[in-house]
Amino acid sequence: MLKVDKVCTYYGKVMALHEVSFEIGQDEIVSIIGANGAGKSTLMKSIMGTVPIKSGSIQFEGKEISKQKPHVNVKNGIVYVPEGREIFPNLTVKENLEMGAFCRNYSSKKINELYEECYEMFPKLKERQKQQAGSLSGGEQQMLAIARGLMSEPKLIMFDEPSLGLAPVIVDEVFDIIVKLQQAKHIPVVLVEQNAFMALSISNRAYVLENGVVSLSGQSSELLNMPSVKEAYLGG
Amino acid sequence: MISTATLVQAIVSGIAMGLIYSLVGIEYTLIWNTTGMLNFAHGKVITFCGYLFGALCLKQMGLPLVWSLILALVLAAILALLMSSSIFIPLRTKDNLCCILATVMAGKILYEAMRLIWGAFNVGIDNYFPGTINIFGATLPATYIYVLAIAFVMVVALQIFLNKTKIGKGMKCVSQNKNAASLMGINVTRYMRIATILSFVVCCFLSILLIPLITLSKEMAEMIALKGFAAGIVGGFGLIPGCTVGGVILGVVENLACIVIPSGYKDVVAFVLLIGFLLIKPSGILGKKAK
Repeated sequence: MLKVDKVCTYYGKVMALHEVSFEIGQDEIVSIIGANGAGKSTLMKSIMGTVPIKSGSIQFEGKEISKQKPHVNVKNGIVYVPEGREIFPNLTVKENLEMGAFCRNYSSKKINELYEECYEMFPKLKERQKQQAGSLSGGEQQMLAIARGLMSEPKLIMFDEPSLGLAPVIVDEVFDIIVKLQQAKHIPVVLVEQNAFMALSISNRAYVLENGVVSLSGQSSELLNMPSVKEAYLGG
Repeated sequence: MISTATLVQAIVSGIAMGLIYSLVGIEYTLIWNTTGMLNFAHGKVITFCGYLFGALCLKQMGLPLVWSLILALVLAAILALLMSSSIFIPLRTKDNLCCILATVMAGKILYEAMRLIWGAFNVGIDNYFPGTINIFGATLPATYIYVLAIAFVMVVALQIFLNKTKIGKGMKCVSQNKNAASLMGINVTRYMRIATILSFVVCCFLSILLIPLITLSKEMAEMIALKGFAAGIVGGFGLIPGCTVGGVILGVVENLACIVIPSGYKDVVAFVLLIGFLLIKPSGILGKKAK
């Protein structure tokens, strides 16, 4: 589905990614774990086209997309739920959802169906649909960001640090939802996380990023039991 | 003793001028919200549009009013494309000083262009909003009523456009969070262009409203551009409804004050209000407190 091949990305002269390759197929959850500053978000931004890549190739459904602008990628079905939620604080919850479907020309009937689908998955959002999004709690904002991402019916969805800054109970809830939506929609999910244990326990496969290089990859269950991973990312 | 006629006259013309200030406020806020740049050339843009409409289309080409308006709008849109592609979009990520200088210089270029093309003298244009009108015993030039009506319709239409249409909502998102907007599939730079075009179209309408009130000269929009800026501060900087409220308040207060103080000090009122608001409530009437 998505194939990233030997991608190098620079910020000015600083190398952020060096020959990173990874791949995700239909119907799987792939997690990308690594410490702060390892290049996880840069990888996501490189895929979206927010940050230009220096070399390498990125293919989506067999087509080269490495030179494409972010808004075109969204239209083609790649949705990125960014780190820190990035909701529109001065719009209501419902308007935020509406903006999620901005790139699609849905009929009002279709849009209402999508709202209902979102509200079914996130009942809290239904209660708060007329409230300004900026007044929601952190967990609710994360739910809104996820729901907003689903509004354009993506073919591939990427979550960047969905557990960041949330209470442990909410973190469980967020991961539950990611698993559930993957099972319901059968779309590939890329999950970028610092919370390595959680990410590894819900994903099929995983890549470990270290200083801009993929240092390890494999089945998540195997990585969970690897001593080196345990020591570095799972607290021994 | 102040007669009702004087009061009515002051209030009606105050609202008419106030709505003009509101439109000026909206016009620069559109660019500020989407690109994060202040268009210091906005007064010159208004004047330039006035020359395009009055001197070029009406006088030199002898077109009827409606055709002059359409042609002037098209030319204003082309100017908007030029300025957004050369200044607002490429420079918005650069240093603040760089942006300020670029727009100030753009204004200078427009000013000199006007002098070069249409000469140094004012251009006389027949009033296309003629006649007088009687309200509550006060006799007013009908110009004010035309201006009031057209400006009011424009303010309402702009609000509806920005809040209800897809393009307006897209612009709102771009102003709130550019990164998230692009992740919603919004072409951010295209929306900056659209906002600039909309802003210049408002400028064009403004100049057409101003010509019958003040003669068509190269300095006609100087004071109005500044007062429109004050309107934004009074109402709430960066807020379109704030500009509307601020503008009307400014227009009415300034005209009412002229009943008591010598009218030579009229311009002082707006700037006293501006400074007062900056000192006491910098967020403006509709603005929320800064965090």
